[in-house]
Amino acid sequence: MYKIFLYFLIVMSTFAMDKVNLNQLETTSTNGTTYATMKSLNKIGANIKKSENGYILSTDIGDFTLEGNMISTSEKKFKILSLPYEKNNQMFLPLKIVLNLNGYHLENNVIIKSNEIDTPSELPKKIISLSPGISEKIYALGGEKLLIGRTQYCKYPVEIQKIDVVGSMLSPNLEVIVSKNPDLVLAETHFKESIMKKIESFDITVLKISTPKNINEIYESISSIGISIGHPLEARGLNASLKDKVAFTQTLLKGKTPPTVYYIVGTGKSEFTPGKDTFIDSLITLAGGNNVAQDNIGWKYSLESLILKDPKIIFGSKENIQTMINGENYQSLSSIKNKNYAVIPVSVLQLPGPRALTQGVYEMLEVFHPELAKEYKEKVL
Amino acid sequence: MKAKTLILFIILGFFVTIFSLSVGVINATPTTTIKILTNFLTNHEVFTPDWPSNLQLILIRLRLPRILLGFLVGGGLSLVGVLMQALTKNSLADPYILGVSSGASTGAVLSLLLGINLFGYGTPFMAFLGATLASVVVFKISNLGGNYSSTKLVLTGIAISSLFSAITTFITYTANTSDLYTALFWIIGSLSGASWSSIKVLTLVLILSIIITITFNKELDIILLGEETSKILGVNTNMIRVVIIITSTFLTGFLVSMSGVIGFVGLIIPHISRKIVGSRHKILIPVSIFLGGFFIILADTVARVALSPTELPVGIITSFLGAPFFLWIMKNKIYNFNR
Repeated sequence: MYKIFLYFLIVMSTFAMDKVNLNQLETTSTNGTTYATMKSLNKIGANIKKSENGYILSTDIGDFTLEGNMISTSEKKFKILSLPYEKNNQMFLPLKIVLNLNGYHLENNVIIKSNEIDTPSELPKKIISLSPGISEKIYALGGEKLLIGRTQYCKYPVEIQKIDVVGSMLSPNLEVIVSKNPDLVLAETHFKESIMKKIESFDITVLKISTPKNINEIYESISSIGISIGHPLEARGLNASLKDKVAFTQTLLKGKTPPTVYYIVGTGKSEFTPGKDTFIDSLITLAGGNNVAQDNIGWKYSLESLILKDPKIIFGSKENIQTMINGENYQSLSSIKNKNYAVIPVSVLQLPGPRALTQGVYEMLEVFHPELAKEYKEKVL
Repeated sequence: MKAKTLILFIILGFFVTIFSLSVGVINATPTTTIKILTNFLTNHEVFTPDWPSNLQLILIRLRLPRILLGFLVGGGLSLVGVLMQALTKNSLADPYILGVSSGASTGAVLSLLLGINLFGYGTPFMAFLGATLASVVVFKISNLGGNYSSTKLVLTGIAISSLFSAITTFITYTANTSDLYTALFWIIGSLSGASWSSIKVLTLVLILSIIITITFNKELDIILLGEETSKILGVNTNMIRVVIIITSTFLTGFLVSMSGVIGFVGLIIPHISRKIVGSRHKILIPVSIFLGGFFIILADTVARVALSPTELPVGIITSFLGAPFFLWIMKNKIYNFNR
């Protein structure tokens, strides 16, 4: 009988958190971050215990430990900036991080269960990644041991170079893929339906992960990849860490006026820059910039619009900046005239993933608000 | 075609097939390839598999359809080349030069862009429509006022070809990334989309076209002698023209919808075939089909292994070989029909 009762309690506890209003918790705000007491969090269904050096969070998918500024799973550690603290014998934990690790988030002060894809019935042992963005995330989630194939464009992190190439992103070599006998092939939005069907006809699971077009979609992509490769704990940990860092960035930039900026993706013959539906645009906004191409969709831009907008700061790769400095057509731009341009290592902005969200934001912050860059670097990176 | 020649080509075809099947990302020994092929064809385990099961999957389900599609596409394009060269009495004519391929590829790209499905036959249908439009325009304009000249025909073809290419490029330029890749497939042909269903359809279409053209082989020979002679010999040139135009347009539409635009095959192969067996269509047509088929199979083998593991579209290889050959024809002035 007591077993049934216990089971009932467990079931209740897993559902209890959903739709709970924030005012049912004992909360306090420190440096713009909301904290809740461990006691009140446990009351609404969280399972947090104090350990010797920190806290143990038990969730529906496994345990996290929270020690110092690190969230750890058995395989990976993720840095956070909002640290738990004790005051008047009460233990305060960063609310959003606790919710994220449990698979929840806040919406208008109400706790809502986050959408996650279903856990696959069988976890993959051999994975082929057909996108550089997916490869980056597999490494960030600690799934590199499962990776047996990549595209020729997957070059980050550097360790990936030792993984075998299975062709290009858009037309991978089916013979190589089949010969490697993978149980999961991960591809991005652009992937051709007919090739996908063909790979599936060999009883290989193919999963399409949407290419992130903004910061939220980066989190979704991390979550989906993590769940499908059997690293859901790491996905929640990484996302909680990234969201905490993003929140820190927003607090850091509070009250700053964003300068008008322009990121050169291509220039000289025709202009290419990220429009409003690109993840780089959302990163520019996060880093405290005002992207002048926000009226545009996609990557193609025009010289006339650029001159009309006359951004305060222009940034991009060394070659592109040089092209503008030497180009007759660009001399009327005040940022070129006033030497208000900056070279950044553009590779950090190429993939919509964890690196762009931290390192990429840092590189832009250094250009937009140099006075804040040092603090950002020390805390986030 | 004599039985001896036919046997020769079948033996040659066997070697080409075994070679192309064996070579790739993983190589198989010819013996293993023959064993796998025998097991597949007899649907029994005649030979106990002593090879990895992957290898069999790759050979039978990836390479074999490509080889068969390659043969059909190469043979089909050569046939169209032979027909167009006879029709225009111009050894420079092929579906690629005359803009018919470009018309077909524009149609195919449009069908994908507008989502025209038509029970799964939207792409071939639109490709056929594009090919028809291109050939009608080319043949109408080059025949304006009744004074037909082959220079006019080739020039019209080039104009139409670049017009259609411009449309395809426009679609490509405004398309998003995934459509871009699809459009690229139609611009430089590739056999990577080979499947058994496409092979079945194409086999049927090719056999039909061969029957039609072989039936008219004598008339094709006579057309080459010129309008006047044909009339004296009682050949209805207009009727023959219409039949040939319809057949070659239909075939080109299907070929392009399966493999994209593969250039220069329709030009090179009829020339080589004429060098070997002369211009009598009764023998020229089958020889061109065989040689064209073998050429594409081998070119696709190169495309598969040249930059392995990255695959090249076979269209790059054929153009790479075709363009210098074109120049060679010019240099040696063998652009007459040596009978």
